[in-house]
Amino acid sequence: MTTTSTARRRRPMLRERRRETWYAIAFVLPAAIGFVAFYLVPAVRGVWLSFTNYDLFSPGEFVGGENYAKIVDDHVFWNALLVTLEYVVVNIGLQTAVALLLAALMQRLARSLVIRGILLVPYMVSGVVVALLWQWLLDYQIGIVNNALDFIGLPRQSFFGDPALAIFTVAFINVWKSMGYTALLLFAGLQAIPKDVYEAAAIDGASEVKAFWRVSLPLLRPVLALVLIISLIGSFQIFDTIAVTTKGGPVNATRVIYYYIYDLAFNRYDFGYASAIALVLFVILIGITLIQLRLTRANKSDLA
Amino acid sequence: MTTTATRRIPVGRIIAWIVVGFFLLATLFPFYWMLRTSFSTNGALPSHSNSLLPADTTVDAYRRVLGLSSVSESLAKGGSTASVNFWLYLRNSFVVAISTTVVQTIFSALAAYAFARMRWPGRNVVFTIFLFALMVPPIFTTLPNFVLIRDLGLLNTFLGIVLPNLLMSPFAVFFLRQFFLNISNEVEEAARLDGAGHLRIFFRIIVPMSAAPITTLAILTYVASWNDYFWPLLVGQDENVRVLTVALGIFKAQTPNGGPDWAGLMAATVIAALPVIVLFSLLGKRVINSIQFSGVK
Amino acid sequence: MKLRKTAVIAAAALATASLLAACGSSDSDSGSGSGSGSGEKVNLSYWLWDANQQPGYQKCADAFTAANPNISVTVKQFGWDDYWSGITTGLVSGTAPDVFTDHASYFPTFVEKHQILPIDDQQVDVSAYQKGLPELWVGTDGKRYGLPKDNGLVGLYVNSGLLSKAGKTDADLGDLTWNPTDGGSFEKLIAHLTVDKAGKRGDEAGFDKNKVDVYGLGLNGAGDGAGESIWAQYALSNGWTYYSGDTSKPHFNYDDPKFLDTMKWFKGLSDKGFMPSLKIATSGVGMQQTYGAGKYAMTTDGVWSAQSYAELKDVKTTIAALPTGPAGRQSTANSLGDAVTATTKHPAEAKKLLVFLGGKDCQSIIGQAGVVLPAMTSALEDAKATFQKNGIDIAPFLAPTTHTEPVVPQWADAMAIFQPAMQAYLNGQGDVNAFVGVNDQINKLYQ
Repeated sequence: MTTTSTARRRRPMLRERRRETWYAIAFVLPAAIGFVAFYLVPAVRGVWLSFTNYDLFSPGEFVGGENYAKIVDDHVFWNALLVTLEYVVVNIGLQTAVALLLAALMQRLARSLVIRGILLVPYMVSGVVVALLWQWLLDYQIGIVNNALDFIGLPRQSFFGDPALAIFTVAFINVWKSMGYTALLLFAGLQAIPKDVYEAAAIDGASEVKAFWRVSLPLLRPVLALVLIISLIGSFQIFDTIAVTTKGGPVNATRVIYYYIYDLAFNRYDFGYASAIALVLFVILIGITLIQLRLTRANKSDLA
Repeated sequence: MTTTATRRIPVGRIIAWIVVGFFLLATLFPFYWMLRTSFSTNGALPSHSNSLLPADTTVDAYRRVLGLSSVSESLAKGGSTASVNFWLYLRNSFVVAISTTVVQTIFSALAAYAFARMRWPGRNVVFTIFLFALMVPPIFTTLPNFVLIRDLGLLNTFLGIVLPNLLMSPFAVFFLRQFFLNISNEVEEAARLDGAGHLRIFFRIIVPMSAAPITTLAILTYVASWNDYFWPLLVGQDENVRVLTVALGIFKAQTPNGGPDWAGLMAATVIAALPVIVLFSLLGKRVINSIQFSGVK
Repeated sequence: MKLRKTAVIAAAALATASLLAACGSSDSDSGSGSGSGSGEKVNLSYWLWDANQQPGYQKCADAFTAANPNISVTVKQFGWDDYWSGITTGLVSGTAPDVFTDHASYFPTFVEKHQILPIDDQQVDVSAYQKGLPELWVGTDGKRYGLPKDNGLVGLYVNSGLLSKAGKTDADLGDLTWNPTDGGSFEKLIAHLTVDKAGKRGDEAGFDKNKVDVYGLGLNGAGDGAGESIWAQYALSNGWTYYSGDTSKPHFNYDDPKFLDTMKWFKGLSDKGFMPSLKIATSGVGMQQTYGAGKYAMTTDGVWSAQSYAELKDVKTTIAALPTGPAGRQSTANSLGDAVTATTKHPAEAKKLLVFLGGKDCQSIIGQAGVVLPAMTSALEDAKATFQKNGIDIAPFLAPTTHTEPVVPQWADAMAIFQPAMQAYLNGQGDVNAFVGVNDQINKLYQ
C-alpha cells in the first residue's frame, strides 16, 4: 500500500495478472469446496447410478443403458414430461407477467415498504403450508372460494379433482406464493437503472407506459434473464405442492416429472431408473438454460 | 396540453391503484383465513365454512402449539400430542437461518465477484460448471449428502444442518454475479489506480454499491433457510437442534386417514411465520435506506 | 464506516461458525454411547406415525422399561408424509430406529430387501390374536417378522340429524342389504338421504342430480388396490377375493366379473348423483370435514376415525354395520405391526421390545386408550369400555366377516398401474372392462 504511483505503473502486466488469478482462486475457493462436496460429487454419482439397478439397500449392478431403453417405452414418463411442460409454461408465463406488473407498479407508484412487505409475505411461508392453506380455501364443498362462486351464481369447481383443472390450480398456487418474490427481484433490477435514463426518456416525451417498454424492460434484461432461468429451473422441479394436494392424480394429470422421480426412488426403490430420468431432466434443463442465455444475452448488460 | 395531461394521469393512477389493491387483497385474504382458522376449533370448522369469523372462537390451538395444554386435552380437541418447545425451536431456527445467511452470502459474493469482475484463466468454464449446480436434481444430492454428514459425525448438530448450504448456493453466486456485471468499470478502475487491492475493492466499492441486491439476496436466503424442512428433518431430529419447521411438520399428517389438526397447524404456521415477518419489517427499512443512499447513483 | 461494518459482519460470521462447531462436537459426544453388552444399559429408539397412538405406546414403552430396567425406549412420532422417507434414509445410512411401526403395504419390500429381522426365535402365541391378523406379518419366505397390533375394521357412519330429517330411525340401519344389480335397501337409503338444492330427495321425481346439496354417501378418493373402506366391502360381499395363489406369487382378480359388476354399481352411485363424483371428492380437505359440514349423510370409514367423528360439532353420528351382500356381510381387516430393523445394534433387545409391544400388557394399554381396536382378542373388552365411555359403540365394526388385505411383494409397482386406472374409471374416462387389461399388466409383475 506504500508503493508510489510511479512504481505501480512500472509493475509488469504479467505479475499483476498472476496476482489477480491468485486472488480469484482464493475468492472462489470456499464456494468451490461447497460446490464439489455437495453438488458435483453427488451429481457424478447420480450419473453412475443411472447405469445400475441400485435399489438403495444393495450396491446395485451395472446394467448398461437398460434404464435409458426403458424410458423410451415408459408412457408415464412421457406423460409426466408433458404435464411438467404444461405446468412450467403456465407458471412461468403468469408469474413473470404478474411480477413485471407488480415491479413496475412498485417502482412508479407504490414505493411504500408496507406494500412490498405484504406482497412478499406468501413467499415467507413454507410451501407445504401454502399448499395446505389453498387446499382448504379451494375445497369443493366447504372452501370459501367455491362458496363465493356459488354465492355469485357460478358453478362450483373441483380445482384439484378435475383432470383438466388440477395442474392449473397447482400452477396458480405457486404463482400466488412467489409473485411478490419475483416482483422484488425485478424491482431490485429496476432500482439499479440510473434515474437519468428515465429523465432522458421523459424529456423525449415518452409516457410512463412507453418508458417502461422502451427503457426499463431492455435495461432490465440481465435481471429478467436471471429471474427467468432461476424460476424456470425451480418450476421444473415442482414437488411440494403436488405432494401435499393431488399426489400426482387425478389419473396422471399432475404426475410431474419430479414427483415421478421421487415416487420411483423412495416409494418403489427403483433408484437406478429414477436416476436415469433425473439425468434426462438434468440434460433438458441445461439445454433450456443455454438457449435462454443465448436468447436473452444475459451476460451482456446495456449499461456496462 | 398540460390540462389534458394532468387530467389523464389520475385515471391511470386510479386503475393502477385498483390493481395494487387487488393484489394486496389476494395476498392478504388467505392469511386472514389462516388467522381465522387458528382461532377456531377443529370440530366446528366444517359446519361454519361460510363464516368470516372464527368458528367457535378459542385460543386452544395456540395453547396446544405452545405446549400449554395437556396431552389428553390436545387429543380431545383433535390435536397432536406433540407439544412444541417453542422457544428452543425458535432459537434453533434463528441459529440455522442466521448462520446460513451470513456465511453463505459472504462466500457466494466473493465467488460472484471473482466471476464477474476478475480476469483469470478458466473463469468462464468454471462459472458454467457452477451454473450446472443449479440444475442438479435434489434427488441426487439428498442421500449422498446425508451419508456424508453422517460420516463426518455431524448428525444432530447445527453444523450438519447448515453445512450443505453454508459455503455457497448456486443461486446466490449466479444472482450476485448478474448484479456485479452491471457495475461500471470506471469506479473500480479509479480505485485500482488509487492502489486499492481486490479485497478492498470488494468490501469498499462492490459491496456498498450492491447493498440492495445483497440485502435482497440475504433476505431470500434467510427465508429459504427458515422454511427448509426436509433436510433438517433428516439431519436434525434431536430436540436440541430441531427447528420450527420440523416441529411444525409433526402437526401435519398425523395419520394417513385422518385430517390434520387444522386449527393447530394454522396456529403453528402463524407462530413460525411471525419471526420472519417481524424481522423483515425491521430489516425492510434498512433495505429501503440502503437503496436510497448508496444503490442509486 | 462501511469497511468497519463488513469487518463486524465477518467477525460475527466467524464467531457463529466456531459456535456451531462447538455445539456440534458437544452434541455428537452425548449422542452416541450405548454399548451392546447384555449387562449394560441399552437405549432403543421406536418410531411411529400416528400421533393419536403416541400416549398409549409411550405407556407401553414405560411398562417395558419397568420390566427391563436395563433397556430404555425413546418414542418418536413423525407425520406419515415424512415417515417412510425417514425410515428409508435411516436404513440406507444406518441411522434408522431399532424398532418402528410398519405398514402392510411396505412390509413385503422390507422383507425382500432384507431390511428387517425375523422374530422366529421369540416365544409368541399367535392364537391370541383375532382371526387373519397374525398372518399379515409373515413374509414370503415363511418367516415371521412382526405381530399385529390393532384391527382396522370398517363401519357405516351416519349423520343422525339428517337421518331423522329423512324420516328414518336407527332401526332402519340394522339390516341393510346390498347387491350389484339394484343396490338393495342400502342404495334405497342412500337415494333417500340425498337432497338436491331445491329440497327434492334422490328417490323423488324431479331430483336434479347436477345440483346436489347433500350426498347420501360420501367418497374418500379412489383408494388403492385394497380399496379399504371405499369399495372393498362391496366387492368382497359380492363373493370376490383380491387374489388367488400364495403371497409370493399372487394372481390378482381385478378382471373377475364380481369385481367389475361391483365397480359398475359403485360408479353408478356417482352418475345418479347419490355419491359425489371422484372429481368433487378429491378436490378438497377430506371426507370427514365434508361430512362434518353436513354435506354427506353417510360415509364408510374405519374404526380408527371413530374418535374424530365423535368430536365433530353440530353433527351427531350413529355407527351402523356395513350392508349384507349376496355373499354375506364382508369387510376388510387390516393391522399395523412393528418391525426390527436389520441395522439395529441391539437385535436381542429390539426383538424383546417388539414382542412386548404386540403382547398382552401393551395390547391392554392400547385398548384402554380407545383410539384403535387392539388385535388381541383379550384386549377387545378394554377397548369396548373406553369407546363406550366416549359414546362410541364398536359392535357394528365387529359384525362383518373380515378379509385381510393383500400383503404382497411389489405392491407399489402394482399400485402404480392400478391407481391411475381406478381414478380414470371413476372419472368416467373409459369402460369398466379396462380393468381386464390392468389386471394382466399387474399379474405380469409376478411371472
